[in-house]
Amino acid sequence: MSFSSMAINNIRKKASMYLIYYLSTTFAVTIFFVFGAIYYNPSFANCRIGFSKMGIIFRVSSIAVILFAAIFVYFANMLFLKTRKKEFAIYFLLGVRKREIGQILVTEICLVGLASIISGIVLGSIFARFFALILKKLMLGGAPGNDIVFHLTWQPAVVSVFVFIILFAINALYSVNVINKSSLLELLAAEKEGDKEPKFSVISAVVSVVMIGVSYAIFLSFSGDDGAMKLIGPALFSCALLAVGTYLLFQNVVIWFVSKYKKNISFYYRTNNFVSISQIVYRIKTNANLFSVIALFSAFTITVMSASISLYQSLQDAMPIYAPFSYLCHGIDEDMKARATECVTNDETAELYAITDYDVLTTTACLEEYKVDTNNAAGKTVLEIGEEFEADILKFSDYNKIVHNTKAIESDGNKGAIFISNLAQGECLFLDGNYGHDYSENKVGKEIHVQTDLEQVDFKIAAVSLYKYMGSAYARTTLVLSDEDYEHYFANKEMYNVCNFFGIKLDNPLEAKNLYEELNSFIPEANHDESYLDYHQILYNMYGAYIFIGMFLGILFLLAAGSIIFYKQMMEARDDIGRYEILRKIGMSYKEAKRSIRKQVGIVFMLPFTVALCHALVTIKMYENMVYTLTTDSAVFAYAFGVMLIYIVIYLLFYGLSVKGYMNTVWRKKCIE
Amino acid sequence: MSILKVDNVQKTYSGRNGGSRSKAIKGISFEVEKGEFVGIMGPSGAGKSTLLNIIATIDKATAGEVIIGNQNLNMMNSDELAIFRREKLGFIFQDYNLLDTMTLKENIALPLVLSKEKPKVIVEKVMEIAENLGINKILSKYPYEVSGGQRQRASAARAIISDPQLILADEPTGALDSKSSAELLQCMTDMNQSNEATILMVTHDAFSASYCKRILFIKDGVIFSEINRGGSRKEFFDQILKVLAILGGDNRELL
Repeated sequence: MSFSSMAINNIRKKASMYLIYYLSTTFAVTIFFVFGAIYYNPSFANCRIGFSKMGIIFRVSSIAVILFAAIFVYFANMLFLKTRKKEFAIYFLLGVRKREIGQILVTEICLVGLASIISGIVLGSIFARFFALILKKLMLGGAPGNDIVFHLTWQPAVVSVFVFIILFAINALYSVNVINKSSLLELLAAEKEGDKEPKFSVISAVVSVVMIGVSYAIFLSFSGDDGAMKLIGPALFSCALLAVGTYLLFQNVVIWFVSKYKKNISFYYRTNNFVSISQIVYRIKTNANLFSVIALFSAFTITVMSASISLYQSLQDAMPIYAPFSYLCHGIDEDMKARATECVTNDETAELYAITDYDVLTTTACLEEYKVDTNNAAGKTVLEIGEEFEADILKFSDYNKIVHNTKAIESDGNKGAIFISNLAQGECLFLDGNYGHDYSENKVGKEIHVQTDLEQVDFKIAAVSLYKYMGSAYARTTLVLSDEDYEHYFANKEMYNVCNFFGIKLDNPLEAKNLYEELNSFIPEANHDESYLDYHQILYNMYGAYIFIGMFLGILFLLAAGSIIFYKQMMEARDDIGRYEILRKIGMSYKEAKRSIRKQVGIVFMLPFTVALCHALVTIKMYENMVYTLTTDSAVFAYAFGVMLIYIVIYLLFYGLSVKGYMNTVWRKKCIE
Repeated sequence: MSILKVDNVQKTYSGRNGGSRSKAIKGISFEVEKGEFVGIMGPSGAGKSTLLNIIATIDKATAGEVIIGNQNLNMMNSDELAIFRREKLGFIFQDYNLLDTMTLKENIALPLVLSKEKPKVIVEKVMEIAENLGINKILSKYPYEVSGGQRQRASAARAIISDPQLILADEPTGALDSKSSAELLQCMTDMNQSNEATILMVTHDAFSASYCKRILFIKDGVIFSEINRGGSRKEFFDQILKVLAILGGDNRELL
């Protein structure tokens, strides 16, 4: 019998052992292929190369997916090796050379690997369509658009085959190396524990709690008003504190608690606690690294997922900031206006809400402790504090028209927008062109010096608002003056740059694709802004892809974390076989063993999980404090709870699987009955 | 009063596909009275361990009955057997079978914890037994930190803590040096005499067997002969050797 036929025989006879290896690697290939299929899909090609930011995100995530696949295959392989240990020891004992054992192992890994690559690609091509559908939906965001065609191309298959052949080859080599290095004694001996009770230090335990507490405090002290540069130092510092603190927490606090608990005889000496608690101490200590990594990454994942969902959900609210009008043009003559109006009224699908025609006059102004610091479609403008700046002047009646015709008050989109209903002479409404309140705070009641026909005139600021009446892309600092003041001080229109705007607001801006095209056909490109639909597409294409990748990687990560714990449990179950055999001989019943294992496995899952949730709550709160979306309130926490629910469900699933696997490993039928 | 009644027990191992069948035990019957210290001897493959496993409820007889106290093992399901094991039986194994993740104290307490005894009672009882067996000073140590003899005494303590009706010992001195063996056997004798514990011990070592009061010799799945201890241990030892010589078992090297 040759060694390769021995390997084939092995696979045939112990199918269940290979099945778990095969299934988990198949899963890894499937996920990888799905990602590859989307990555290489021609319709998403612009995501891959076109939009530079998206390109980077896609590339980074492809690395993450490869990493995930590698981790998955590695752990599956480790468990596989462990289950084969005894068998190899016997071969070895019988005089089979290590080289030959290696040969068997490599043949087996190759066979399982090959099978899983093939089935993974088949499954992947089925599921890829489904995932592409989700992506498309997210990228369209409810707008009617041409369905993005999904083609399967040859690249993902080739790349998957290539990547996984390398991964399996590495794992095969690694396994052979493990076999070569291990002595017969190591192969035969079961894992020994309990030389000494795991140690902990009370000081480190206290320090870890303090560290986590301090990092929480730092995170929660962040606010959106602080600039990024100011935050990066403390942020890194508290991240480091959190990481080290979490590690020390698992190393010390948990073990401290358990040993305290063990001293409490009336709790510890109970059937349900005794066995599970005595085992768990060792598990926690050896798995502290793993637990802290999983806890930290889970917290990060939950935060990122919640943040990206809330960002996506607030896009609809954010639309009025980008495009308050459905179609906005400027500097067009009366003929064109008439033609445009005719177009709109004649169009069958478009439902006109209002047409707004207004003038904006540009002059200069001066305000103490104020500066313009914007970077938008009009270009980057950064001035010195107190420097004279270009100010747009809008008369109050036009302002009212715009507010009414764009439904500005009804839309939730304008964060920091204040609307006024009357304005006295000599007063002005200050519409800040900047995004935040950084420079316009406490300006109410201050005097602003404005250049008029004859001289500089001071206007009293009646209110400050961040309302972007023309959309954020063209936002400039604007003063709204009463009509009387406007006509009085700016009578000589030739002195200024006056621009006429013509804005169309539709009730169904997403459906009027034909109208936009028609308007674009006769209005020169320089004279019109992108339509509502264009903005919508730009935003949703970008954020839709964002959120898709965020969720994809997030769920992938949760699956990876769950399965790593699962594999670890399965390996530890093998070490526990002897222990449960003793317990069974002493008279532990099936039910008691099951209860004890449920508890033991439960603690292993609970620990990183609870810590992760704690961390996540703090970081999500920080995100909520800090986030400067243009919209009013994004319900981050509502989405966070949704994400946590997904997280809990995935974890519970792995928990159930682990308990089942554990039970099957340690309580095989052979002993009794 | 008979504690253990083995009635025509048979055990047949069938091959994987119902092929070659081999009879490990071909019909064994005997009784053990309360307070007895009975040894079972025989060459390798005679069926002693199979017999012990059947009595220990870890294995099931193909035919025949085992009655411990007044309970018939055949009539119980696996959960009932588990509870029966921890309440009515005590075990001492050759390889100690102590849990390496627990201290000796916890190991000894295990059967009572499984029986849901009150924690306070458990601790008191552990202390009492540990003192009797001379291991009270090492109770907080882990199995790997103490000697084989101490481990086996802890194992014996665990066997008697639930006041079992029957203590089953499977080659308890198998892994011990002669001094530790003698100490352990003295322990067991004390348990037998002062607590009236009923002990059934499987061994192939004539020295260990000489501590018993009665010995059953098994060969090829049947009881070959039975001897009772009349006089001193030395005399009994010589008697055992004689039987073994006739038996032609694995103790030939002793002669």
